[in-house]
Amino acid sequence: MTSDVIKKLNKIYAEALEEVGKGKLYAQRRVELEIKYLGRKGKLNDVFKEMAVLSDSARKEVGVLANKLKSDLKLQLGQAQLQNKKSATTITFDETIPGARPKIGSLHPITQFLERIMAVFSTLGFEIVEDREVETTVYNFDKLNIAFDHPARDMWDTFYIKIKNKKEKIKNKEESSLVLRTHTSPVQIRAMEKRRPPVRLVVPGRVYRHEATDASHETNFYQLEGLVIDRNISVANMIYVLHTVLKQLFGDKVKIRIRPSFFPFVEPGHEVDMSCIICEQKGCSVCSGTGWLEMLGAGMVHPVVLKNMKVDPDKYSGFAFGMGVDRLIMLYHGINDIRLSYSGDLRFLKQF
Amino acid sequence: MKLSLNWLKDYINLNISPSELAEKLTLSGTAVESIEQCGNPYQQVIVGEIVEIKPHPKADRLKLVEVNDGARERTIVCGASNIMAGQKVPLALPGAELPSGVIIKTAEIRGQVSEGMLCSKKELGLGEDHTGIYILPNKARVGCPLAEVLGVGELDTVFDLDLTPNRGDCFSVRGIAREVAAITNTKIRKKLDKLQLKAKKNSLKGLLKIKVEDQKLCPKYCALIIRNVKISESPDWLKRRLEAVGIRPINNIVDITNYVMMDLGQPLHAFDLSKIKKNKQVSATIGVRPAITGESIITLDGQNRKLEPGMVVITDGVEPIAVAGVMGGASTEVGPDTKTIVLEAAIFEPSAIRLSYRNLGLRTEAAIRFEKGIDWSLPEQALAMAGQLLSELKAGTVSSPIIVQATPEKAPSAIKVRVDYLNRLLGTDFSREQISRSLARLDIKSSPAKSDKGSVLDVVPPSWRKDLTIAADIAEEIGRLHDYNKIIPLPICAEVCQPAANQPYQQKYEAKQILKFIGYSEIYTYSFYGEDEASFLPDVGHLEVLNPISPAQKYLRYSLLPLILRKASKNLRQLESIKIFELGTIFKDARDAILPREETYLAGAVADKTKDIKTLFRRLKGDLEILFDEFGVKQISYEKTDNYVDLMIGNNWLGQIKILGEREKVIFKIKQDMLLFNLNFGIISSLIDEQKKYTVLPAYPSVTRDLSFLVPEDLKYKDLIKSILTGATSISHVDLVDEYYLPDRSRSLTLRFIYQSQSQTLQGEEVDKIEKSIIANLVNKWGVKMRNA
Repeated sequence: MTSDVIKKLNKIYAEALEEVGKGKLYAQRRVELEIKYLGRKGKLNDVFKEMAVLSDSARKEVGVLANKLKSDLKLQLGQAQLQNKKSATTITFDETIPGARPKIGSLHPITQFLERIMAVFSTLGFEIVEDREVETTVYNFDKLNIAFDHPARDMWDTFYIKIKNKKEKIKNKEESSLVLRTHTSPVQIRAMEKRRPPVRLVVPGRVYRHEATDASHETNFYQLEGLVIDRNISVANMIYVLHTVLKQLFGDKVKIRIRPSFFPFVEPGHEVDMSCIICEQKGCSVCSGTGWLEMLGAGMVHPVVLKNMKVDPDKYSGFAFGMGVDRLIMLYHGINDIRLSYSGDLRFLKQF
Repeated sequence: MKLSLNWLKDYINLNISPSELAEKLTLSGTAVESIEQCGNPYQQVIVGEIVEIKPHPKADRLKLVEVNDGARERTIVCGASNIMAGQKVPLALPGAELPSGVIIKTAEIRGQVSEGMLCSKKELGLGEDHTGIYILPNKARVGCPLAEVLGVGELDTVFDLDLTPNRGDCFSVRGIAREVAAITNTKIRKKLDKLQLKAKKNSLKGLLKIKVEDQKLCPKYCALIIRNVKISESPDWLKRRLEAVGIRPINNIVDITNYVMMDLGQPLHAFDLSKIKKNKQVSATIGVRPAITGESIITLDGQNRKLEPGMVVITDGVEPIAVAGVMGGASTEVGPDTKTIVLEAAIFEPSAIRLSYRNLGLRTEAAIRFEKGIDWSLPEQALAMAGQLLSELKAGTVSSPIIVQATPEKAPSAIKVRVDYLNRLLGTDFSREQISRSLARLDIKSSPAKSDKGSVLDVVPPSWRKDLTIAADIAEEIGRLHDYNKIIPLPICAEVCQPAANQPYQQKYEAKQILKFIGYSEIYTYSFYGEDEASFLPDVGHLEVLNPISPAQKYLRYSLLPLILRKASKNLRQLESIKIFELGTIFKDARDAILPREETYLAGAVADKTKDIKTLFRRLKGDLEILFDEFGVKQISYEKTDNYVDLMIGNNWLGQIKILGEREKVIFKIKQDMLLFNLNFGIISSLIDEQKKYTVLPAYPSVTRDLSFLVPEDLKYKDLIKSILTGATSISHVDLVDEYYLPDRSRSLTLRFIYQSQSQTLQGEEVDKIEKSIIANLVNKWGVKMRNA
């Protein structure tokens, strides 16, 4: 009896396989076959009904086999359908055709570069500070130790702004002149009116110089100012930070060179040069054959400026630095004319 | 300032090359901008030795001459017949410019490359002989510049120095010599304090009275009288030196004053004494006083210059005869007939000189030096040197001692420098002795302060170092002599603390990013514009630039839009459509404060030749909606008046969308329709709420149905939706699917309704019921008609 049932089961299984193998198995046919063989009233279940007469052990043996055949058949059905799908979805197309892009715009190269610089400074724990563009001469010059009658004032060609209803407004003589800030340095003073050391801050912003424009000079341009004040801050710290930042921006290979220089708001004052990234110091037109590029003005915050910030120069010291961002992007992107920055020419802007 | 190396060698022995010196100067703070050779009329012409002469393979009359240039042999194609091997000849290298103006290049002559040219006397401007090559004496050294062999010109190297304004003492050859001595650790040669003028028996001292009215403005005035003046040309050596540093030789007297100024840094001026004298008096008076309102003077350059209080003038006792420290007057100018002169060497108050030259627009070499302050002992030294030169050149007879009118000299005060402060500032570890040794190289005296057990130095700078006043200045001297590049970089040791986040900065960047990805390009424009742009915003009261570069840049921008329009116009010459924006600062006069109000605006323009205003508007509005959604700024209402639409949240005005008017199209040369947007980013920033709140997902399926209506022309979408949603239950939201206008100007709207119940699965019949009531309501209230119903 047992062998009869087993034979029957095997036979049904063979039939089923034969049917699965015939032609392409679409979803509907699969369902039909499932019902026919595996369904509640299907062929395999019919055989189960005959098992009632079998002994317990025989029933168990047949049961195991029947279940195995059932799951095998399910597998076969599944695979057959999959096989069918595979061949049906082979579609030919030209994979080398350009992608259809949604129209996107562009960010100004200065915006992008500033963002890169800000990211570097953020990792070094610098706070980003911004402030006003029209300044009094007090903040733009006097508080930065640039006295009115000092020849150093000629280092900045300045735009002056007419003050409306001057008489009504001027209460103390100190703030009698308005200028478009010639550097981001007044923000150092403004920032320190609301902060106490230790501070580490970086100031991006637009500045103005009254000069004739050409391929390397603009009246509007961007500067980046930095200020660090803490106990025991030294030139050695300044060199470390500035070298680190330039390496992050231009690659680990860059070297820096410190030259003594003069800015009234720092003492000692420095110019920081970076090894030419164009020629790698072999000498080229960008570095005028010197192998070095002028990158930053820097120095230790002048004690007078610290006092103007209400910081005790005997307890604290600090360094400050500034760089022209327009020049950096020119270098970085190989732009030969600074005026393109303000041209609004989309053929230029869309390249970045 | 230009520096002649030959001149510098008067002061110091140099055993390093010009380029090494330039490097050392640059690294110690005297930036060398360029190095130039000068004084050589035969640049790139050297002595060559003929090694071998071969025939030219293609030309009978030409020869191939192998010439040794001192470094290698080069082939020169030559047609002369007087040459033979072993001769020394002038060899013009490629790049040489001959007196005729011919520039020598590497050239191919009948198929043979010639790397230069052998020259005849005529070609060198040395005579008419052009029949053969100029054969040089055999002792001429191969490779040596021709000028040296001929003894013409004087080879010199000229540095262009970029001096910093704090180092007035460096505006002279002697000043640079001191620097070079310090950085090369040598001593300078010329000792000027030993310069003595021979006292004359018949002194004319009594001839001149000096009256300084305000000693603050002129703490020291020195004069020297020279008789028997013979005006003539200066000798070649003097002219060459002046020319090397960019000063045009004029005559012996003027040249000597310029020479002394360049050498020592003390400007001198020569007056014709006879022209100072009034009314044939025996003695003359030289006065120094502040200028008076209404006064004027004709200066040496022939210009009539108005003087004003604050300037200082030199007078003949009454009338101005020179603008002190800036330029002399024409009335007392030294001329061919001058017999007696007064040489002036003075010290003026630097700020007064600054005021004079700035207001007169006359930044002379003298003014540049006076404004930085003159070393106290310099006037006498300069007059002594000038007197000596005048005698040497037989230009006149020194006829007086140096006449001096001066305030007492101020004793130098010591700067207290703590050794640990200096090291802390530099990040170094110098001992007191090391510091003292370095300072001595700069003629800076230092000694341990008595009170502080050797940890403090009393430092006394020399009189010419007016820039050294505080301990940090001394630290700089140590740093620059040591070379900053030898300092070992050190990371900052600090408490770890989170920097405060700058929200507005980040928001600005985020806004720019969003706009970029929905198709907008960022532009930067100037912060100022002209009359045309200002007319875009009449009556707002633009702030004005007092000294604009041009009238087109006279106003500070009150809005970003005018210049955005300019850029839009420019771009539309090439493009069909544009989407541009700028995020920047605008400036408004503040009524009760000097400083203007500065606001951050986000503005832009959209145009598309293929789209009408209605379509453009919907697209722009959609773009702004994305921006506002990203920032979580909600509940914005749009209110149209005439040609603009205000964006409001409650009473907060966020900004405007504006249709470009016809008048503006003309001004900005724009032909097509354009929409502008102008948003107060400061306000938007304050409303940003990026923390999005989660809404529970619906538990039951929704039903979607579209309805099309014909709505009256004046019915606003906002009011329509309000009516639909008022009192409606089970409407989750309504979207606009389609809008168009029929020929009779009535408007068709297709809306998509999403029905959703919070408590059950909605059945078709229920939705029908809601739909019916919506329709009935709209028909009743607004006279809406159903389409395809």
